[in-house]
Amino acid sequence: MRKLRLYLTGLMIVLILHYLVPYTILKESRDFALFFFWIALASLWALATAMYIEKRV
Amino acid sequence: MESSLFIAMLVIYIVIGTIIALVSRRFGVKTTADYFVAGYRLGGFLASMTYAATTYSAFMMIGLVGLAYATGVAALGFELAYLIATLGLLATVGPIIWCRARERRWVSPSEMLAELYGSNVFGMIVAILYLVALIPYTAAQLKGIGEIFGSVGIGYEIGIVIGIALVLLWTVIGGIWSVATTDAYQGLWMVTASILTISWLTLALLPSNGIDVSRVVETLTATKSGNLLGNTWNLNVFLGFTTPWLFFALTNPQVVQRLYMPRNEKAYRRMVQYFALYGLLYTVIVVAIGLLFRAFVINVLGLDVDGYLVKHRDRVTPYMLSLAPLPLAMFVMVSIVAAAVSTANSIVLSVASSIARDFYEKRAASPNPSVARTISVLSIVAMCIAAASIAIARVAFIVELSVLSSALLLPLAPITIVGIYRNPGKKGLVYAYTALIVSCLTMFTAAVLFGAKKALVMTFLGIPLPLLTLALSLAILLPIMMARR
Repeated sequence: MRKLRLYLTGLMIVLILHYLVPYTILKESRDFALFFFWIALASLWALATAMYIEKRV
Repeated sequence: MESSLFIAMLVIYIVIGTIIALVSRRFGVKTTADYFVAGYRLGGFLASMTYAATTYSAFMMIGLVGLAYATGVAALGFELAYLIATLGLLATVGPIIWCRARERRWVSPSEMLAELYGSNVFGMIVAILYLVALIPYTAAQLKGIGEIFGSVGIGYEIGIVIGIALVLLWTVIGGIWSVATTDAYQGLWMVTASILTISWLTLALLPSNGIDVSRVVETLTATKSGNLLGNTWNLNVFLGFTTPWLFFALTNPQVVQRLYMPRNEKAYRRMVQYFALYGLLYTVIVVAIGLLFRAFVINVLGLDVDGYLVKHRDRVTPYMLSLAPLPLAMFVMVSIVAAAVSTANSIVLSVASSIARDFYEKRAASPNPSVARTISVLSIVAMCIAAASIAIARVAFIVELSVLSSALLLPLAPITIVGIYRNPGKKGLVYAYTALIVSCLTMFTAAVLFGAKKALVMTFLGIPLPLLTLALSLAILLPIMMARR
């Protein structure tokens, strides 16, 4: 249960960052910062999910 | 020459796919469960590839490339929102659905909801909703095929007819076994084509025209559409478009049904892990293709061509491929046909399973598998004809049609989650009906009155309509969420 709560909290944080950062810090990005931000965030989440389900399912 | 090579490659693709579909019948298709959910015994690799190929459709290489071309990096955020949320759902609700599907022998997603809410009639209504809502999504796939056939000079409408023929052929041959195995084959074709395209752009087209990274940056930050490396999407538009995507894994029956199929826990894990890898790679490549091609067009072909492609963004990919070496172009075009067919046949098979299961098998005293198969085939044919009509009318862009389908199905997300975690039975039925009717009527009315795109981005009380319908559904279901189990 604790790991599930941790995972769900992580999901909320990732989604908030996914929406918030592109409308604040990186809104006017003039290089590939926003592009790589989104890729990095999704990659980290994919890795976290892969590790989570390896232990939980 | 172009159309001859395309036809040759298409024939190869169809022959190989048909052989795969025929061979897949050896897995055994005796019962409805075999036909629709592979008897709950799909291996991890097949499960992941059919999930990926079903999800990633003509939407990607036609729709998303065009969207990235026209609106920039924000298209990446739009599509990755789907992947992030889907992985979350696959890791949490997904395993519970997988487990229960095997225990209770669920075949269709509407059957699952019927059981959770204690009402076969509810299941039938959900099956009808699937039929109505997924016709635009299926039409989007046929539109993608039509655009490809149109671009090689064969004809848009002929492309649609060929698309329908393939969907029918591979669905009818062996049900989900032929769909899943051909999905694996098509999924590999799709990702290979995208890798070859980005390689050609970055190693040949752009360098040979003197366009390096700094030139790309300089160009994309100063286009007529604005700074494409920044966020060009208004927040309401971003929310309106991404909200239906966030819950796609629970609302669209063709992917919900794939949760039933992995043969064991390991196969389920591999499905999620391989899908994550595939989805990330494919999404990033597709968006990069759109961005890089925009830089090329502005620098080399000029603003007139650029303006035309921004206005007709579903034609960006066909136009780009007209500049590519012929074998590459034809390979990629066939991959787009593959992507569209793999999604369309998954959708029609899944909806057909709901119709056959909820309208016949659940109601008949002694259901006959042959009758169930006949009903399925008739449903598939009806969906194809309806989708083809919309595709021929070209009512909207592929992206808008696809997102609208998911928006119509959005109330099924909270209904499913509440059903799985609360098991409300008949006590939850009135809430489920209310949530479904209020949300669906709202989105459907908006789409009919204002068109697909406007319905997704319009706001009420400052809230984008899809997000509002989701919030309404949640509010209506609150009493069951708060009630003790």
